[in-house]
Amino acid sequence: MQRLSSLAVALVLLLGGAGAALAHAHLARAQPAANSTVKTAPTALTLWFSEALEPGFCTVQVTDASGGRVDGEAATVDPADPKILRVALKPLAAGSYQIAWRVVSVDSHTTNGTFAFRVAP
Amino acid sequence: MTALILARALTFICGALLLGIPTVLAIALLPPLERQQRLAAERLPPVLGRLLPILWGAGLLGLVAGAAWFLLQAASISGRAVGEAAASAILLPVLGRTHFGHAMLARLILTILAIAAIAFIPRARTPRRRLVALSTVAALAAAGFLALAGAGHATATPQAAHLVADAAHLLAAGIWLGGLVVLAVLFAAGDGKADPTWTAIIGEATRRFSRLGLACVAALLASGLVNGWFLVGTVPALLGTAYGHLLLVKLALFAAMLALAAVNRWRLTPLLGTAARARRSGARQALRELRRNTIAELILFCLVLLVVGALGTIAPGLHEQPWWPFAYRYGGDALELPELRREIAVAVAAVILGLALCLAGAAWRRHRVPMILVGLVLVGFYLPSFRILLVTAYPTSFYRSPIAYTTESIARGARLYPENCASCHGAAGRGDGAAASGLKVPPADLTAAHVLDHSEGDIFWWLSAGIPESAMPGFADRLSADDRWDLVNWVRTLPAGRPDGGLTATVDETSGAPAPDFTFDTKEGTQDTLRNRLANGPLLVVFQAPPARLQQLAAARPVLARQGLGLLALAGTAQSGLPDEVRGIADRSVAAAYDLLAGAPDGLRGTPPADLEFLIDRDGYARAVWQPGAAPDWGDIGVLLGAIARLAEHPLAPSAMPAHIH
Repeated sequence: MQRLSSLAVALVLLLGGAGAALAHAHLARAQPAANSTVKTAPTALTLWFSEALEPGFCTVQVTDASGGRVDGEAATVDPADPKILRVALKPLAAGSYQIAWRVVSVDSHTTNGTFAFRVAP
Repeated sequence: MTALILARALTFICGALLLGIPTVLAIALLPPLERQQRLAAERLPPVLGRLLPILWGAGLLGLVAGAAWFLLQAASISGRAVGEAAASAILLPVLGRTHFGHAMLARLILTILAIAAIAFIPRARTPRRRLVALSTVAALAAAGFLALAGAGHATATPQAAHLVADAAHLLAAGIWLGGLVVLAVLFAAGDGKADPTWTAIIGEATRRFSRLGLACVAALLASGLVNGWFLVGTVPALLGTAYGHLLLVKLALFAAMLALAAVNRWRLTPLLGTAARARRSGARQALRELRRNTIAELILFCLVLLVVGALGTIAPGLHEQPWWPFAYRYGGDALELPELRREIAVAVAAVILGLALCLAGAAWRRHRVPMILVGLVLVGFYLPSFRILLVTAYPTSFYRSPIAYTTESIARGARLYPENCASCHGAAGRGDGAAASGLKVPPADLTAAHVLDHSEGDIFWWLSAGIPESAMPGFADRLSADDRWDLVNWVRTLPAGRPDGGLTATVDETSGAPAPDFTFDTKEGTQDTLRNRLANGPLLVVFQAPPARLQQLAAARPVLARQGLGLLALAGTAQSGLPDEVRGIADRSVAAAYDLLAGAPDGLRGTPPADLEFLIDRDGYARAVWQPGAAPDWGDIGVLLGAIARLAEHPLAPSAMPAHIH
């Protein structure tokens, strides 16, 4: 099926060109993982994206159940691997935490998303 | 959004003109014209007189459009309104500190240089100087235009093929568009005065451009194919996403342009060479038609670039959920049966023969009617055979689950199941619930291997919309989409543990079930995931093993590591007997999901058994499972080593790793 679809799309596209279009950075995984329950409170949140990010234009907000901010300083893009975004966390108590991220990939497109994780020692 | 699309389209159109007009002038018109110096002196100034204002206009308008694009994109990056972004301090950081800003700055400088170089074209008095001036403008404009490729997706994933394809696509489009403008001006200049020599030179220039145009079309096709592969990738994404639909519109416009170009090239252009001498009125007529077609082509081209302007502002089809528009989809499973394979082969041969007969009938006058009739009968009779290659499809058939396949999701599905599904499908999913006996269409046995033949999108559709003519209701109004995806993840875990041919203690070529991902706490108090650990190679994942077994595995660890196998021992609380780095503390839902994968007797056993071990390959498939007492005995490390060797010999494809979560 996969191979035939690929062949078919190849034939269809032979009729013309695709646009010089742009893609978007998607969240590939997170640590702590999205919707996960962890036993030990993490001291930092790490997000892996599908594309390299523009440092200085990416934000992460981590809030506890009452809406208080628990993220530390500004989120930083890993200089060695610009697909990785890190933010320090204040000491977390047991409970659920909501993450809202907004990033700009190197092709200048903005994406955002939310997820949650739970700390339950 | 509309403003951004227009700004992008205008930037592309102006960039293409600035690059294409001087290129085609230098390659197609100047060589034949400058062979005749008197004619060149008379005819070139009016042509340049019409083209140079277009060139100036394209340059200057391109600067304005590029600035507007930059401003709108900077506003989008900063998340503010345009006016606010323009007034704030955001513009400089975007210009100086982003790839997009660098690309736009490079384009700005190169375009200004190209515009300055236009001034040298009318001042050049010799053919050589004229060529140098035109090449300079073209080269600077091309470099500025190519900077736009540096602002695209190709920057995001530095794949050389995509970058080269983007660049080739821009260059070829630019030369084609510029050439059309040059030709439209030439055809207008050749109209009216019927000078045979001048008409012949226009014909020669047109033929030279045609050769260039064919190369452009070839380059556009090849690079478009590469771009399409990177950005759309599949037929469902082409047919079922906004991006795909826009791309289809673009392909249709492109096809219309090719049709016009073919008429120009093979019907009208030959008339210029021959008719120029024989029948002047014929040449005039051909010139008029060429001009009309060329202007139509130009309009189509601008529409294509408007679509390109829009394409760049939406997410590529590859990243969207494709809404399948048809009631059927291709299902090649039928071809695995030899007799069906034979039937399809016969049908293909018969249809080809039928079509050949129809064509032959159309070409030959003799026996035309019988040949076409027989051909049509053949095609009509065998076409329905292809029906076996089609399977029923639903709008969400090609959806990928936005909820990652994790033990947490499976646990949430397991919590939703008893209340919503168990009355018909039974507590363990075997289709034997209390309400099942009275139903005309029996509820599906969710533990049957057949469940895995359906895509997750198919199951999601049944859960959402129900199954007509059966008791299966749709849950779209009762459960959220996320809840339904959790149930899909749960349902897809059930068949892996079925007693007939599910996972066993032996690794073979075909058995394997995607291993649900999970998070665990390491001894140091940090978190890690299964997927992350699998990046280092296959794993033996051990749940709740007794201390003696853990000590045995700890002792064998160097031997296992030499075979490339990592070790991960999980328990609800800290245990002893293993080195820290292979120890993990995991929530109980993890062990429960894996218990399900191993085929817990009643499907919903409360407490996981003591000692449950899985071999998980690096692609993310659970390939074998062992509990004490199962054969062969993994208690013998030699047996385990044999299983590891078979893991490497028989990989399963494609990867079970989920693409991404949202």
